[in-house]
Amino acid sequence: MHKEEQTQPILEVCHLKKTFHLHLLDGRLIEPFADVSFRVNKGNFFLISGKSGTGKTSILKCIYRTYLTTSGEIWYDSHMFGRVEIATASEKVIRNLREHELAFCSQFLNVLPRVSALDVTAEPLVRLGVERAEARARARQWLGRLRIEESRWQASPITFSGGEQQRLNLARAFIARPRFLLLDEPTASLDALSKSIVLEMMSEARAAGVTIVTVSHDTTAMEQLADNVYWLQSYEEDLCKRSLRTPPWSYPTASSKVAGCSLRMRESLIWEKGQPILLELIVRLTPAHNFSCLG
Amino acid sequence: METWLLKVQHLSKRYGSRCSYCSTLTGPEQKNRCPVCGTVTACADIHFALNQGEVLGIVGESGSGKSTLMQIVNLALPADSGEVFYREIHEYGSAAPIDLLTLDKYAARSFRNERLGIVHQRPELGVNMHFSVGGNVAEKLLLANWRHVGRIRERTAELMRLTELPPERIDDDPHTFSGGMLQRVQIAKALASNPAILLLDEVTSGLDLSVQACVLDLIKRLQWELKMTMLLVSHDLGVIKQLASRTMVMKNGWVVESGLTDQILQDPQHPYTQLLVSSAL
Repeated sequence: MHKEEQTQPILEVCHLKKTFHLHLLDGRLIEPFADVSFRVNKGNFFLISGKSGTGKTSILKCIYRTYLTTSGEIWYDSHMFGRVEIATASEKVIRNLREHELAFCSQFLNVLPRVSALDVTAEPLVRLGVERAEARARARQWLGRLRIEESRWQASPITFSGGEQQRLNLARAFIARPRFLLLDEPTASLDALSKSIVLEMMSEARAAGVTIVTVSHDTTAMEQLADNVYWLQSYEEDLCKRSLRTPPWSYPTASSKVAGCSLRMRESLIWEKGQPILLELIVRLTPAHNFSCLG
Repeated sequence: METWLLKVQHLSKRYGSRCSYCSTLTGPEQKNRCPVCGTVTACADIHFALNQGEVLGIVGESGSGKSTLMQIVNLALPADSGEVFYREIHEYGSAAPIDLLTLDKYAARSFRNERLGIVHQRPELGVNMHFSVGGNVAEKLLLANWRHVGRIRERTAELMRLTELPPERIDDDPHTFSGGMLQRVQIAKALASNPAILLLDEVTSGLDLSVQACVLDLIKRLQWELKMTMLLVSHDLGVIKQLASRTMVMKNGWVVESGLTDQILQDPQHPYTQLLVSSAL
């Protein structure tokens, strides 16, 4: 892949905000994150990390359009339609993108009962019109690679253990070689050997030009691969980190969690590989008036 | 890029003469039955487009007008107002759309026989219990102008194999079949004339779990391998989640929300959809 191509952004997220309106709880509003902006270059491995409940998975789901975006824009540079704004694109466009370009690998497996693990894995290929026999042959390769016992390939994945289900999910995500992969905690319930295989699969996919956005707590394993790391923060976390300093501005009430503090601040938390910049450092170096807009 | 096959616009169906009170109400807050004049609203101003190869799910509580909508699309029930456009799609492009509701009864019947296949909730509605199983499937083929007995039996046996029914039971009485098997007989019958659109009305309600899994598996295969276009009515969100790519939520005859199935199930916007999703097992 040429270097120029690699530096082109394939995904641009601008001021993304999501609010859940819970009508059943007297119209309560929940805001997992607000004002999230980042860009992902073609063929890059982008890691989103942060504490539980900061809205990491929600960002992925917004990109996959499982969640509707409250405000902000998500621009995806698609192969089929050119630049597409995912938050407002038609359902037809999204369905086409999901079928041919985007893949989402969730932490949970959700399949029809009675369908064998082999057929579940082959499904994305069959959908693309690959012959069933060939799709099964390729599914066998992936299941073998992910160390799922051959004796169980004909069984329904509902009977599998958590780790096996997760590996099956990953096989389903990787098998059709999508252009853009969204992985939600891909290594969460895996043992060390499986984890290394999954990491190897990811680095192979990246070498083949697949762009990967992943959400993970396992930063030590992922950081070897990641081109960029995006650290999502809650207000509370921000407060803890800066407790040594009296904030010159007032915080909004802690009822709603908002990722990070201001756009400027979070942008600085994305560091290029090998050059981490500490939050404390930025706080000390940045004049207070830069944050006064928050008040 | 897929194109629409069926487009429904402004479709309404009411039973009774509307009064000045209920004609001012425009929304699902309105009850099914008007308290003043007793007019029952089955479908109110429904819009949707069904694309080729797509499965559109329709969910809602009992009495929300799902089956009425299905019957109107099946041309078995006249609508009060609105249009149901159908567009034939060939390899080279698509024909001019026709409004199905303006067809005369002969044209409507032949359209239904050749282009539509329906599977009812109760097998007795779709299967003629006085004919053998083979006779039931053959009936549909005869209506679609098949005349050669040998070929009709051949096609029937093929359809029985496709729906996992034992082909040697082709001449058996439907009374000797279980509910799940009768449901598959209905599916075989619906598929007989290679329909452009398959209408599935609560296909799995009332079936036990193992039979339900067989029927779902069969529908999923039709969806993947034959790229069948389907309209799927169900009140079971699990069925919708597995089969439909897009979902429409109905309440009191109105469509309250529509979108991609995973979005409807994981990020419902309308209070009624949130209630529905939170009540699912």
